[in-house]
Amino acid sequence: MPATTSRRSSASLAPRTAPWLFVAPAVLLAAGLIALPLVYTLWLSLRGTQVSGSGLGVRREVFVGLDNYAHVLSDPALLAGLGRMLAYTLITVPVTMALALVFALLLDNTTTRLKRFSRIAIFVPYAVPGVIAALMWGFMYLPGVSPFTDAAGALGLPEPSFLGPVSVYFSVANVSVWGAVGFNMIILYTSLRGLPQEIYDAARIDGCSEVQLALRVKVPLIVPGLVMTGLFTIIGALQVFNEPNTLLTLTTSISTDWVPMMQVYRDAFVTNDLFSAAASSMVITGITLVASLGLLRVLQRRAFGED
Amino acid sequence: MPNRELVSKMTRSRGLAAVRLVSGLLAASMLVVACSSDDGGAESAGEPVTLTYWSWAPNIEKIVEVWNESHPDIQVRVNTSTGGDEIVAKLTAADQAGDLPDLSNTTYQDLPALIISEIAADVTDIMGDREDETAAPAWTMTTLDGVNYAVPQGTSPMFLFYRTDVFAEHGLPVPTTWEQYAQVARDLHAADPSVYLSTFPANDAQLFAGLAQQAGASWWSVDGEGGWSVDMNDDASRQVADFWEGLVAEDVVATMKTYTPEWQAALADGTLASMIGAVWTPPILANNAPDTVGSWAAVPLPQWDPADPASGVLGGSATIVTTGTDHPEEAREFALWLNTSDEALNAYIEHASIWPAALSGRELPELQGATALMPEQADFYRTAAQIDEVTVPVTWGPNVPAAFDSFTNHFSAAVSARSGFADALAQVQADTVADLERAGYEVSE
Repeated sequence: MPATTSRRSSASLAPRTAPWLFVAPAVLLAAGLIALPLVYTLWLSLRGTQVSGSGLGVRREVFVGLDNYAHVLSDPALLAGLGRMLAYTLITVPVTMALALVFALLLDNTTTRLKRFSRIAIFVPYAVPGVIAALMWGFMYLPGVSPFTDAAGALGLPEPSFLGPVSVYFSVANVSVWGAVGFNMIILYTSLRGLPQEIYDAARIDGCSEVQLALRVKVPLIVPGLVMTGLFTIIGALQVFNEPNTLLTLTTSISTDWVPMMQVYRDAFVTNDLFSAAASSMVITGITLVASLGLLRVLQRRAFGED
Repeated sequence: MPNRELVSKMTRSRGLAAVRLVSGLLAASMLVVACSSDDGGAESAGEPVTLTYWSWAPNIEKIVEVWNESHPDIQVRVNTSTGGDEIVAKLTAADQAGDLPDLSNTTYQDLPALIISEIAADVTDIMGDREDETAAPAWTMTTLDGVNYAVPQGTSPMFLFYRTDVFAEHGLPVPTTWEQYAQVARDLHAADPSVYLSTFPANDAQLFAGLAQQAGASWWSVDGEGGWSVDMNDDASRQVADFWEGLVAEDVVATMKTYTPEWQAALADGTLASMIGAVWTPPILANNAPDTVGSWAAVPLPQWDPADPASGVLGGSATIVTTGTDHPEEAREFALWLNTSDEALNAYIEHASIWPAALSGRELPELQGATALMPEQADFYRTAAQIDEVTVPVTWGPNVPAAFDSFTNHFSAAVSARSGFADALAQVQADTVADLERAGYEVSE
């Protein structure tokens, strides 16, 4: 038809430019907020200071190639930090996911009472900023001001040690679990509410108990939700900073390089070695990226049947 | 009322990383703002000059206000968003962005880092002839190679603060030697197991440094050939480390970190019966343990050799003029006014607190009486002046933050294990040397 032809010819450029216009905001934001800082960090990681002149000397910035990477990768403190981060991750991730799933299933159970109240009560800690949560728990861990210490004393029990060499891992993990469970629970609960009721009816008619229903019907159906929340939890654990860095000021059990992110912060803002901080940042970014992409690949194949 | 030294401490107390993180972000955003703001630089004659000044002192605005009222041509704008323990990192970043403030506060131990980064400008013009009018410890710490790099603000003579009521209750003598101090720690804890004489705080490298200086340590020095030498694992430092390891291992001193809620509670409820501090400590004690006001007294530190009394340095700050200023004349004039004029020092005393490095300031009437914490101790400031006389000359190095960070980590581990203080000290020495070498220095040990 003539009308169509003319319209098509007048808008002949549109198909080629329109897609670019649509992706432009995303591309610009990604370039400005991710790519540029990344390139700048990469640049910083190849620089260092050199002192010249006699007497006190003068500190100047110079190109040092891969020196910072050699320094960072041969630094036992970073390796130790990675080890502690791994231990923390191994505690946090399973506990967070298990609690979130159990709470979501309980809330979804028809016989559970006080649902609305419980849902909000479990979710509220997520709204508390990480630093505040760490401070609050920190007060409860410190022997001098801890209500648990008082309670144990009143009951004649031995004083609990929350900040011992081993217990400190659980104490730090506890703060983030407390904050993260609610968020993950809401996502899983929403997935559960999205499932059609007919499946449950069919299962119940077939004689399925509520526990069986939860484990054999509901859980397999929300695997995509579990994968997503699990991935977020893992990435969050790899980037742990707020909780230990806040507790650092309170206890001798946490060092300023307790986890890699704290080391980066320390190098950049306390000991004024921006270049090492940049190199460690690049290393951590690499590890996180490889870990999450790898995990996503494996899980996607399993969970979504995608390739 | 807190003064600057106190605030550098408080930054650590509330320093609850939150503060650091927030101020870190602030600095980042400040950088952005600073980059976009147009400083002009070339004001024509007659137009008022505006100086920017970074300081972390509370109420500093009120003191600067006094200047602004009497100097319409040189207006000073204060920026208080940078904490005392971050000043080097923030100024370095500002320097890289080409947007240094005209003036900044610095702690004495951070000054060398600012000098070698070419951030602190030479102020010999205004300070060079003031040696006789400046307290000796402050003069030494702001002068390197015969050049003045800052106008000193205050000095920080160290004191032992103790609870007179607790000491009287148990009939304990006030220790004048470290040997007596250890005995008092044992006797007090034996008499009342819920009370400790003090705490050995692994987070306070500055305190340990002060105690080591008193024993004769000189951690950094510029050697003849123009390199740095680092000597943190010397006999004097080891002596101090061994002394405290003994007390910690015997469990007669506590090991809680200072400036934490636990520590505040321990001061308030009498778990800690004394504190090693400095001239700026009374307001901190009064704020943290208001119910104990009136029950404290201050004496000079216990000595290793009473025949040859000595004291170390615990804090203190100074004002630098930066190399980035477009108005060096005006900036120097303000720096001098801020730290030496009776007008400014009076404002300090009214709104904050200060033990001035400028000797004339010590004659001000408010510094002749007692402090609010110890209303009966009329000789507090006279004692402070006497302690300044026996304070050893101290040279800080260019990487104090790295050394202090290493101290905190290694001594935290040692304190948790209640042993290994000597190894920790050797680690601190190794870390500090390695850090200096990484920055490109020739280091001798």
